[in-house]
Parts: sequence; C-alpha cells; structure tokens
Amino acid sequence: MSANVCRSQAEAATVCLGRHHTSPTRLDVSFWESTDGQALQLEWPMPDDRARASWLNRDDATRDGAYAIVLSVLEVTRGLLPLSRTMTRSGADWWVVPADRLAADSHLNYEDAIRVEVSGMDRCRSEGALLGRLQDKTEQVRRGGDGPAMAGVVAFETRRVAFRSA
Amino acid sequence: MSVELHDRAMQVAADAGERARAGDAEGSRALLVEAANLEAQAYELIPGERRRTRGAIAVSAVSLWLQAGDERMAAALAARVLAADDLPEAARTELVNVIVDTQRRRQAASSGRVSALGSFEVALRGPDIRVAGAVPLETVLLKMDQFRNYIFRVGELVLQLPFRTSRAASELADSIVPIVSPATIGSYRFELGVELLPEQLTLVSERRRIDPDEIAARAFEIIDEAVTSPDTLGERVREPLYTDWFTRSIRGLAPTGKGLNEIEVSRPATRSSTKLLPESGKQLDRLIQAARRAARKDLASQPQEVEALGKLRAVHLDKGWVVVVDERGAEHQFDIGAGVFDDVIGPLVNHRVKIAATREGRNLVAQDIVEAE
Repeated sequence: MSANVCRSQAEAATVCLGRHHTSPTRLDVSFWESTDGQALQLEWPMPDDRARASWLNRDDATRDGAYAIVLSVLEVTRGLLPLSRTMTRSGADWWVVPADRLAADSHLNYEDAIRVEVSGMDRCRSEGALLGRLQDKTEQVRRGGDGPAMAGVVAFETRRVAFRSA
Repeated sequence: MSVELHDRAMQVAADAGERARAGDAEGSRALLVEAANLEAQAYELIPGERRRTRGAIAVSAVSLWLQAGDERMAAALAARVLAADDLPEAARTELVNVIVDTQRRRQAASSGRVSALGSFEVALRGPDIRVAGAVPLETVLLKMDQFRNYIFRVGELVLQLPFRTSRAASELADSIVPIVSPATIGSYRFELGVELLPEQLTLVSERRRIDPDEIAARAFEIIDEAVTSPDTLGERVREPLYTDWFTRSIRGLAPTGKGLNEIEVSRPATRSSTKLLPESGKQLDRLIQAARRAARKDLASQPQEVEALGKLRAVHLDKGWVVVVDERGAEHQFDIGAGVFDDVIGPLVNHRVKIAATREGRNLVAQDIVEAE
C-alpha cells in the first residue's frame, strides 16, 4: 500500500472518529470464530476544518476510514498485511496476506491471499445492526469468489470492529 | 516480472484516478488504457499453476478496460482468457458476465437505445418460492410493479424534477424503460435495469441528460439507506417529499413475512447487496406512524381514527377514492388522503390491505394503505 493512500485513509478515519469521539479511543474488536473480544487503544489526531471539509462526502469518508481501521486491526491482531486493492469486479475490497508470506517473488502470488470485504457504518443503532451487516458482507464475499475470504465491519459511533471468515 | 508490471499498472491506475478528480477525463482514460495493457501483460506472465492469481489479475485487467470505457477490448480480453485458461469458477463467472453485459448493451445500441451498465439484481426468498425458483405469478407481479414505480421515482429524483403529487403518469414514462432479465434458478432472482429511448434524449436535455447508470446506482443506494439507517434516509435523499414517498414505497417493497421473508437487492458491478426483511418494513412503518402522530398534534380538533382490513378492489385516480371489500363482502369507499400515493397503492389492487383512515364529516379519508400481513 502506498504511503499516500495510507495517509489519506487514515485521515478519513480521524474524520469519522471525530464525529463521535475524542482521542484516545477504545476499539472493541471481535472475531466471529473466537469467543474472546479484544480492546485496542487507538490514538489519533483530531481532524482540522480542512480535513473535515475534504471528507465532507460521508460515504467516501466512511468507506476509506473503515479501510484504515480494518487493515490496521488485521495487522495488529492477525499479522496480516495488505497485498493489493482489488478491482471493481473482483469480489472484495482488499487482498491481505500473512506478513511472512510477502517474500520476494518475481511473480504475483494470490494463491493463499485472503479477500477482505470492508464495510463502514457512521451511525449504528445497535449491536444487532452491526452483526446483521457483518453477516450480509460475509455472504457477499463468500459468493464473490473462491479461496479464503473474510468480512470486516467498523461502526464508528459505537467503536466496534467485527470480523467473520467466509 | 509479473509483480513489476502489476505494480506499474496499479500506479498508473491510481494516477488515472488523480487525473479524473482534477477534471481531466481524457487524460484519465488514456492512463487507464495504459494500466489495462500493463495488467494484461502481467496476467500473461503469471505461472500457469497459479490459477487463482491468474483469475484475479485477468478480472483486474478486464475491469481496467471497462473503467477506461472500452467495452469492446474488455469483452475481447475476457473471451480470449476464457478460451485459453482454466480459471477458478468465480473468475470465469465474472468474465462471462462482462461478455453478456457488453452484448446486451450492443444489442440495445443497435436500436438506438442506451442500457444501464449498473443494473441491479433482485432475489425473492420465502415460502412462496418453490423448488427451482417457481413462484406464484401474483407475488412476482406485485414486486415487479412496485420496483417499476420505484425506478421512475428515482429517475425523477436524479433529474431533479419537481415531486409529482398529481395522478399524472411519470414524465419519464416515454423516456426510460425499466427492463427485467430472465430469472435464474434458486431463489426467484431477476435482474432489473433501465433502458433509455433515443428519441427522448433531446426532450430531457434542457434539464439534464438522463444517465441510466446513475438511476440504477441511486435506486440501490436509497434502498440500502432505508434498510441500514432509515432515520437518515432524509439526509441521503435531501428532498422531503421524495423522502416521504421512498419511505412508503420501500416499506411496501419489504416482504411481509407471509409469502416472502427476504428480498435481496444487489449490484453485480460493485458486489454490494442489501436485504429487505419484514423488520425493514416495520422500521419504516414506525417512522411513518411517528410522522403521522406528530402531524396530528398540530391539528385543532382530533379526527376520529378508523382502521379497516380487506381486499383493495378499486382505485379511482381522477376522483381520488379507493374501494376496499372486507371479509364479509361489504364495500367501503375511502377518499385518498395526502400521504397516499397512487404509484405506491396501485400495485396493491386485488391484494389484502390495511387502511388507516380518519373520519372527516361523512367521508372516510385514507391516510395510509399498506399490504396486510
């Protein structure tokens, strides 16, 4: 992932978080397959007016902010790194791989890469709404291709991040 | 080798995005063509045993051609890859879809019509759906009728036409044609799209050119917002009258749980999907009832509330009344109130409905008509 894309998505995340919280913020992370949740402390700079104006489009900000949060959480909790953004028709948002599989290889290798579908919710009425979205996204990514895949949903209002393997 | 070419393709595609954002559409397109060529070269170099990787990069190259607006090249590459390579099923399906979509649009174009790239799929699920996707005609006709009216209203919103309150037909009725593609087996699934008739282009160009893709995209977005965040539907639609109409229309689209318990709407182009469930309709109903209660509070005298259940047998749009036949066969006439839209209740003729009405003098005025559970 390029530094520019990384910075841009991180800024989107600060705008989304800034609508509901102040830094530092506790993120409650769960993986469907595991009973234990995980709490992560997230420190972030409050966005200035310029950043807020740049991310005035709520949909764009929520989508890119969710990318930043999901990819960061996957790296910290599962050691997964982004390999590439997927194309429009390719079934998910990102390809990620375990850090140790990013070995030098002159040919592309997506054989064991995980397709990740990401969804962001600015407001979230309930935990049920979050899990409902997670189920929908899991089904979507399952239908969209073969091999390992997962969905990750970020609810900025409730500081929740939930994952489920497809 | 392939990594290098792919990285360059992605960089060039990112540059194309920057150009597009800066308003340089032509420059962006040229870069996307370059990116598509680089990605196609990367695909050729990936070792044959890496089937999943070859599938992902082939789809990526085809997608870049589509983004560059060159469907012919996209379909040609898809066909070549399908003929020569043993790709995983998901990648093959994507490539076949590109060829089918291209052919469909080519067919429409040959008669001067414009077909939407971003049509959406509707899947009906529930006890009414029999083995192999067989479905009672009445069930599917109701939903198709409701979706047709919904698409016209979305088109009017996209074109920023004033909200249509009269009983007149949509101004777009002679310009766009909602189309439905054959269902596939499983759930009852059909594809909805929009075609634009060529002779109407000049008629609407004074306002704004109709973009069938934009209508399809907005149609999906509005349903998704109504399902996931009904409270904020107004922020998404931004026009209060349209918001009220969409709230009522999507409540009507949502399954009651009796014959259908799930309607999935998805956009194959973006892989987005959303589900209308009985609860989705109930949530929207709560908003509608809350708005009615709030409106009633402002009235000097409180009208008597009446509720009726029966089959909607007649709608007279010019005279503004409906007739409902109750369980005993007795007919009841209601005037059509302000919150009842003919293109929301029209599809409900011959279906069981619940009417919330008020008594105004000797007349009963229907304030809300909804399909009975």
